[in-house]
Amino acid sequence: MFKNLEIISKMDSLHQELLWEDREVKFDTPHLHNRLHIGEKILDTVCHIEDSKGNPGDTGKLLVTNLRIIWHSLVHKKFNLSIGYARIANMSTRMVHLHTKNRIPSQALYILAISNETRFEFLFTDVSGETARRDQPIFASVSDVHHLYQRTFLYRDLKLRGAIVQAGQLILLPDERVFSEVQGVWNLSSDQGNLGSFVVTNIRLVWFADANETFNISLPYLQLDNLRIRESKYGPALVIQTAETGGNYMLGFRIDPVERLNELFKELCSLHTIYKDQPNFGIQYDPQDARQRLAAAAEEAAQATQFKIDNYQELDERQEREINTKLNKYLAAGSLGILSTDQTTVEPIYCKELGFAMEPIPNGYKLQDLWNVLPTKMIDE
Amino acid sequence: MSLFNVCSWWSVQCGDIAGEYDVASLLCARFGLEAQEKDYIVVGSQSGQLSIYYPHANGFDATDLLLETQLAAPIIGLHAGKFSGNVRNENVNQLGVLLPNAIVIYNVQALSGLAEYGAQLKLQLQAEHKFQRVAFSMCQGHFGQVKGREFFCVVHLDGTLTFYEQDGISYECRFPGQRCLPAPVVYCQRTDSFFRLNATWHLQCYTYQDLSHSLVTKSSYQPIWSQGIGEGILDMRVVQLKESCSYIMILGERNFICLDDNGKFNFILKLDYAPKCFFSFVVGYYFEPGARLITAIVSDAGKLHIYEEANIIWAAQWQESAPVAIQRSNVQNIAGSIVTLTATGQLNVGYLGAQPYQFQVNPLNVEELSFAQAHKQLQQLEDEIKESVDIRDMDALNQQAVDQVRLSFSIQQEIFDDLDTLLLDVPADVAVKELPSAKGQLKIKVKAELAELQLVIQTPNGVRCSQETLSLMNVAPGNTRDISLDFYMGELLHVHSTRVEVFASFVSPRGIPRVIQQSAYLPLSMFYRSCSPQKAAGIKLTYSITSKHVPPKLATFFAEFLEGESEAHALGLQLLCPGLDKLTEVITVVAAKNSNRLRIQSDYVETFAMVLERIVETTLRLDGDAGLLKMDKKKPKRGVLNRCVERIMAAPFMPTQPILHRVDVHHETQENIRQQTEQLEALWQQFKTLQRELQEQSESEPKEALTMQIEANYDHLILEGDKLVEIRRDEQRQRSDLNCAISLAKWIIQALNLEERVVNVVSSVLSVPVEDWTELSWEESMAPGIDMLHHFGPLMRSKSTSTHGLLDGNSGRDSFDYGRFRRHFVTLFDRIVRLASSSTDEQKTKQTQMANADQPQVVQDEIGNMQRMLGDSSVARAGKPHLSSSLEAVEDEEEYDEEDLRDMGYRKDYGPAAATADTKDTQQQQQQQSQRQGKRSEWVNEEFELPTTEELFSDLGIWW
Repeated sequence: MFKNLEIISKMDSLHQELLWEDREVKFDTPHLHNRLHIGEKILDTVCHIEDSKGNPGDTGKLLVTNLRIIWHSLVHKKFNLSIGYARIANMSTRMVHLHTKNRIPSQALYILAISNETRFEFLFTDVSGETARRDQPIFASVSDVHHLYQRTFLYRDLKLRGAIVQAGQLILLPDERVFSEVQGVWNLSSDQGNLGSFVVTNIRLVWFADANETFNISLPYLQLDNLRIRESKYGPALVIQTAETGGNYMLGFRIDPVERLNELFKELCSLHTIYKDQPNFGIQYDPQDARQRLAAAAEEAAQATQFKIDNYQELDERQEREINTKLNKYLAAGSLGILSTDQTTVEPIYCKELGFAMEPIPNGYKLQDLWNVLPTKMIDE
Repeated sequence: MSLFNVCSWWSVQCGDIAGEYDVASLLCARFGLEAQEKDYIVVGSQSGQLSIYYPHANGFDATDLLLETQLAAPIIGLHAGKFSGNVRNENVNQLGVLLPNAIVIYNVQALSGLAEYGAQLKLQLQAEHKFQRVAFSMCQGHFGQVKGREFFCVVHLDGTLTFYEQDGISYECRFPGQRCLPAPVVYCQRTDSFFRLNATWHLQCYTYQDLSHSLVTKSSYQPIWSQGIGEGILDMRVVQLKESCSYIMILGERNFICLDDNGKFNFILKLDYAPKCFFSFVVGYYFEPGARLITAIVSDAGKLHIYEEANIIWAAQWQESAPVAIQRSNVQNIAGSIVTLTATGQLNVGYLGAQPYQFQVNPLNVEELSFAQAHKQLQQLEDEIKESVDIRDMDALNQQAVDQVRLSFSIQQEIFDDLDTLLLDVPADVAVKELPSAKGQLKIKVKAELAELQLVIQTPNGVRCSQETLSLMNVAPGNTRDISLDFYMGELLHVHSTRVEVFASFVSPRGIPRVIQQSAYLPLSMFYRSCSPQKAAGIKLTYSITSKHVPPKLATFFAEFLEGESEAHALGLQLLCPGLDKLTEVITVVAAKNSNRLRIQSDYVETFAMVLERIVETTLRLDGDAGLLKMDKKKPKRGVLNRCVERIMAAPFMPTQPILHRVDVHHETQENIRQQTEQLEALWQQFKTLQRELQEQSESEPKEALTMQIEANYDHLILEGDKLVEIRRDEQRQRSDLNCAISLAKWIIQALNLEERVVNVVSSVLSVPVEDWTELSWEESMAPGIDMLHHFGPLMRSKSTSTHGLLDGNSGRDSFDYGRFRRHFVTLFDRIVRLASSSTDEQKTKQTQMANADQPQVVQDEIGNMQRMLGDSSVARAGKPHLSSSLEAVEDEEEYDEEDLRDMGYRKDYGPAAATADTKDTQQQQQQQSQRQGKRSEWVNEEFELPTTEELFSDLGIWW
C-alpha cells in the first residue's frame, strides 16, 4: 500500500518534471502563467497585446520565457496560450489595420507553429493605441529569445556525432563547467567497442572516440532518463537510458577498474539530481541590454535609410473571376474535411508529372484539375 | 499566395550556431557505403562546418546525423564524384569540399555499430590541392569523355580556371583580354565543352579540346560560339534531354533562359518574381522518347514554381522562410523529395501538398460597408424597436399578447373540504376551523416563442393559493401547461373580495415585454354559509336592477345557496371567517317581490363587500352577456352618466359612520404601533446604556444591582416587544376590516347615479386593498387624494379651479392632521350621496313622465313581466317616491319602507333636504327639480379640470 503510494507520487513528480513547455502548443491551461517549469524564467513582458485570432477584443500580456511564449488574457482569466519555441516554424512582425475604426496601423507579431502535424497561426497585435509604440520593436525580445533558443539546442538535446570536439578538446558552452574527464571509456555500441573519453560537465555528459572525434555523444542531463550499473557481456557497465525526447536509446559504457566506474556513477547521479533541481536551458537574455542595443541599431538604421518598401502599397486591381467548378468542389470538400480523412498519415508518393514527391491526390481528381484553375499569369502573384 | 503548400517531411536545424548558408552549401549524393543506398544530404556552412545527414523517416532523429565536423576554412562548394582512380567499387564516390584556397577530397568510410547510434562515419583525407588564387566555384565531369573517373575544374575569383586531371596533374587556363568576373562554369558532356559567362554578359562555349591544348599551343582561347545573355546570372546547369541535344539552363536575375548546346535559344522566360535558386532535371531518360525537362525555381517569397520547359505546371508555397538552395533527391522512403536549405541552416526535406492551403489570417473588419445593406439592416432594427415600443394601437397589441399566450383561468363554483392543511402549511388556528376551499384550473398555451414567462396569481388578503408564482424560461411555441390550484383561507381575516387575478408577464426573445391579466371569482360559499335572514339590521342598502336581462331574483346572484328555480326572497348569509365565537356576522339579502330591487342589510360593514361585489359583477356580467350595451373603455366624456346605472343602481346612501369607525380603529392601531415602537426604542436605548455600564464597570465593583436592572429592563423589553407583535397582528385585522369597508364604499359608488368621471375618479382614490408602510400609514397616503377630491375636481364646491384651498391644506402637511382627513372623508361621502340622490330623483321624475306616457302602449304590446314590473313600480313611484325602497317581500312593509328611507345616510346630520322632500305631486316635483338643478350645479363644478400630474406633484411637494 505504502509502496504504491510512493510510486504514484513518484509518477506524479515525474510527470511534473517532464519538460513539455518548449515542445508544445497549448491553449487555455489553468494557471498557466503562474506555473512555470523549474528553471523557466520570464525574460520579458509585453503589455497591451491582443490575440487577434483567438480572442479578439481581449487585452492581454505576452510573456517571453526561456522556453516558450505565453499570452494570457487580462479580461478572461481562463484564456491563455503557450507556444513552445520548438514548435515555432515562422515568426515575423507586420503592421496591421485590425482596428479599422481609428485607422491606426498597429504592430503585430505573426507566428506559425506546427504541433502534431497541425498548423497554428497566431497573431498578436499591439492594442495600446500608442503611436510611439508603433515604431518601437516591441516584439524584438520574442524573436531574440527564439533565436537564442534555436542556437542553444546543445543544452537540451541529445546530439550524436556532432562537431563538439576540436583537437581532442570539448568545445565548452557558455556557463558550462567541466567537473571531470575520464579516459579509457569503452563505448559498447559496436562489437569491437570504441575507446574514448568521458567529459562530465554541469550540463551534459560527453563521450567521444579517441580514434574519431566525429564519433561522439553529447547528452544533456535533461535528456537523461535513467542511470545504472549493469552486468553485461563485457563485464559491469554503466548503462544510460535517454529520455523519450532524446531518442530512447540505451547507451552502454565500460570503465576499468570497477571502482572508477562506481565513482563516476555516483558523480553522474548527483550531478543529474542537481541539474533536475536547477536546470539550465542555456538561454541567457537581458531585455534591458537588448533594448539598448536595438535602440542604437534603430538609430543607425534610421539615419541610413529613409526609403522603405513597406511604405508603399502596391495597387493591383486585377480580378480574375474565372474559377474552375471542379476546384470549387474540391475546395468545399476540402474545407469540409471530406477529403482530408487522415491527412497526416498519408505518405507522399512520387508524382511523375511534376517529378517531385507529392501528397496523393484525392480520388476522382487529376493534377490538372487542381492546377488548371488559375490562368498562368495569376501564379506569380 | 499559392493555393498549395510544400509540406515538410523531415527537417532539422543545422549545427552551425553562427553559420550562414548559401546556394553552394547543399549537396545530395551517394557515396556507395551500402547496398540499398539512398541519398545522403551534405551541408557545408560558410563557417566551415560540414554535416552529413541520412534521413530515415518522417521527422528528425538524433541518429539521422551521421557526421559533423568543423573545418578550418569556409566551405564554398560541395561535390561528390569519382575523383580517385584507384577505387574498385564503381558506386563509390568521393566527397570534394571546396575551400577558398584548397580542394579537399575525402573518402567517406562507414563503421556500422550494434545499434544505429553505434554507427560512425569517418572522413579519410585522400587528397588536398592547394590553390595559388582564391577559389570561387568548381565544376566536375568526365572531361574528354574519360570513363570511370571524373576530373574537376576550379573557377577562381579572377576568372581563371584550374583543371585537375588524373592524380595530381593540373593546369591553368587564364583567359586573356578583358577582365573576368567570377561566374559559374558548367561542363557539357555531350559536346565535351565548357560554358562560361564573360564580363560582357555573353555566354561563351569552349571545347575541352581547345582549353586543354591551349596550354601547349599557347593559342588564344577562342570560344566556339558566344551568345549574348544580357544580364548577370545566378546559377547555371546543363541537362541532357535528348540523345542529340543538351540544354543549358540559366537562371538570370530576371529571366530564365534555356539554350541548346549549339548556342541557340530554346526559350527565355521572363520571371515576374525575384528568383533565388533553381534545379533542373529530366524526367525519364534522355535516350528514351518522352523525356521531359522540368525546372523548379524558388522565389525570394518562398514560393516554388515548377516548369515543364517554359510552361508553369505547379506552384507551391513554403510556410517557413524561403530557401537559398534546392535539390531534388531520393532520400530513404521518399522519392523525388525537395531538399532545401535556408540561409539560417534550416534543412528541410519536403514534398508537394495536394490539399489546398486555406489557413490564413482572416481579414478582420475589412468588409466594406455597403450602404444598401446597412440601410436594410438599420430598417430592420428600427422595425424591431418600433414593434416593441410603439403603443399607438394598444388594442391590437393587447390582442397580439393574448394571442401569444392563451390563458384560461377558471374557478369551480363547488366548494371542497378535503384540503390537505398539512401539506399546504395552513396555520393551526385556521386549520381548526375546517373552512371550505375552492379549486381552480389554469391553462396556459404558449403560441409564440418566449424568452421568459412569469405567472403571478393574486388572491385577496387572507386567501391563499397553492401555487402563487410560476416562472418559465425559454418557452417553445406550442408549450402548454395545466395547473390545478387550490384556494383556501390562510388567515382568519375578513375578506374583501372574491376576485382572484392571474397576471402573465412575458418577454419575447426580442425583449419585448407584455402583460396579460385574467380574473375569476371564488364561490361565496367559501366565505358564507346560509342562515335564517334577519329582519332588522344597522346598515341597509338598496340596489335596483335596471337591466332587462337580469332577473331580480336571489337565485340569479347566489346560485351557491339557492336552487335555480327557488323563489326565496330573503337570504341570510353568515360569514365563516374569521368566525369568532361570540360574534355571528350575518348579512341578509332581500329581493323585492314585485319590484326589481334588492335590499342588503347587516350590522357589520365587513359582511357587505363580497356580497355587493357579487351583485354588481353578476348584473354587469349577465347584462354584458346579453350583449346590448358594451362597457367599452372609451374615455368618459364630461356629463356622461355612469353607465353602470343602466344596469344596476344603488340607492344613494353611504354608511359613512361605520366606515369611518373602521378608519378610526385602523388609525388608532397605527398610532399604537408608532407609540409602541417609540417605547421599544427608548427601552432599547436604556438596555444599551446599561450594558455599556456593565462593561465599563471595573471588576472589583459589585454588579448585582446593575445586573438586576438589566434583567428587569430586558424583561420589559421582551414584554413590550410581544405587545408590538400583538398590535401588529391586530393591525392586520384592522386593515382587512378597512379593506372591506372601503370596498363597500366603492361598490356603492360604482352603482350610484353620478357622472361617470366622478365615479372613476373617486374609485381610483379609494383603492383597495389598503396598504400601510412603515413610513406612511394608509391614512397619510390617502390624505392627498382625498384632499384633491375635496379641493379640485367634480366634487368641489367652488367653481374656481384655483389651488388656494389645496395650498392651505399643504401648509399643514408636515404634521398629518387626522381630524382634517376624517372631516374631508366624511364630506366626500356626503357630497357623493347628495349628488347621487339629487340626480336619482331627477331621473326618476323623467322616468315617471316617460312611463306615464308609454304605459298604454306597454300594456298593449304585452311586454314581459319585467317591464310590467318596471311599469308598475314607476307608477307606484310616481305616486309615492319613497316606494323606491319598499320591499314587498318583507312582511312589515310600511315600517321598513318609511323608516329606512328616513334612516338612510344619517340624514339628520348631512342629508340633503331635497331627498327628504315628500312631494307627491308631479308638478311640484318638476318645480323642485329645477331647484335641484340649481343645487346640483352648486355641488358640481362643471368646468373642472384635473390638474396635470406635474402641477399636482409640485403642489404636493413631491419631487418626481
